[in-house]
Amino acid sequence: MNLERELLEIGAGMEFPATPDLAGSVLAQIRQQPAPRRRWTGIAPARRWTGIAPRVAWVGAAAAVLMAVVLVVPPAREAVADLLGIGRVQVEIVDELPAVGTELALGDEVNLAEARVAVDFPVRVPAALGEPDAVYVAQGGDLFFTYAPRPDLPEVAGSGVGALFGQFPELGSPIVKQASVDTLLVEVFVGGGRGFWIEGGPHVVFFESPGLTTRELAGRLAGNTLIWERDGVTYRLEAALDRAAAIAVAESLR
Amino acid sequence: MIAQSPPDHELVEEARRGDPAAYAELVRRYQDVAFRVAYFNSGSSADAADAAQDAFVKAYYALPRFRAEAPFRPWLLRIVANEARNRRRSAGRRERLAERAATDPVARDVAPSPETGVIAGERRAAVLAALGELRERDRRIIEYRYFLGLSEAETAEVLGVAKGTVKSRLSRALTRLRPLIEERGLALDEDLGR
Repeated sequence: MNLERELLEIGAGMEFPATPDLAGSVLAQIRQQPAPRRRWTGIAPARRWTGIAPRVAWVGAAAAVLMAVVLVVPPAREAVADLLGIGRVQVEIVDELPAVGTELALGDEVNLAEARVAVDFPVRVPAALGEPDAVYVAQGGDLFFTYAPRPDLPEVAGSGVGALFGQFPELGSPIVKQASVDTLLVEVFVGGGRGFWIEGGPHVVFFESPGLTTRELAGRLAGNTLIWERDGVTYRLEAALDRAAAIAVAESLR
Repeated sequence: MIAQSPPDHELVEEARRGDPAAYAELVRRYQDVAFRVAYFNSGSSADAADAAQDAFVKAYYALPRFRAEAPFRPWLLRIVANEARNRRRSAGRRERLAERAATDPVARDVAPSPETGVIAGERRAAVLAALGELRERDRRIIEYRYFLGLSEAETAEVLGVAKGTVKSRLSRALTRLRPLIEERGLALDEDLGR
């Protein structure tokens, strides 16, 4: 018998401890507390959003005029998708942002030394920000740094943090889907490589690789986001910084 | 008479509209697997029960952001797994799975004869003990795929990784498990004359 079959059989015969009856206690808790508490490991959410009809995105200087035309023309509301290709990267403009799985926690809190051991890729620290105030390792192997607000890193409105810096291994090409009339999306160069600058609105970035299911990263804060890739690791910086400052942070990665 | 069994997305939509009974139905539907995911992640039934309960409550409040047609189970289980892990972390407790495997859950012995029963029981105990020696990430993916029967896609979502990653990690986990079983002096295919 091979090991997989054997494990399946063990699983089938496994006697777990009895499941408690949760429905009653869950309902009691919900009734007691009709509005959700804002309690999020590490940071507080700036705001929560539901599907918002997107009406703007412009990518790259060359596409600006085209997109301006699209913006002005009302059919954007009925358009299901409009595809713009920029090299490897595709941007889709969709009527409704897909509601993605909620990440209610960043992961397990660790220190930097533990993080270096826990993840599969070399952990880099942006020298411009220094060492993070908190480090989290998610179950999937993603890594998050949070930075407390300080003079050069103003608090991202309502979040209690100055910056959220994520490091993600094994992602493919990014597809940026974003929503909200106020969101600005620009392709940028970071350290000689390509990236995205997303300003002013909730957004979701999808990563696709052939043969893999799509992986999504939702913007968590109400600040601006810079996404870039280096040596097979994708980085995402969310902060209340302007584009130049964010790129400077990205280029300070050691 | 067959009881009415609405699909998940209907229950989700009703729960979102403010019908808590619909959510209670979802809880009943998924509390076994949720409790077991919590159990594997937290290492004790008491913690698992608390974690699963809190996760169901959190999931309820997160329903407005969940797309009803998406699969509910892996979305929920991801929340459960995170809750159980965070709880364990703040309790500062280290998991001692090898010990846990020896006591509960018990791998039920269903072999037909006393001799094969003894061997099969020993073997299961050896496999479970070997599993306890794997690093947590390897053990977890085996537990999800083989002990809880989560699909590759579901496992990927619960862990927050791509499906291909699940495939490769599982394969590596099994590769690491085999020698640990063999070290216990029980060869893989020979004991039971198969």
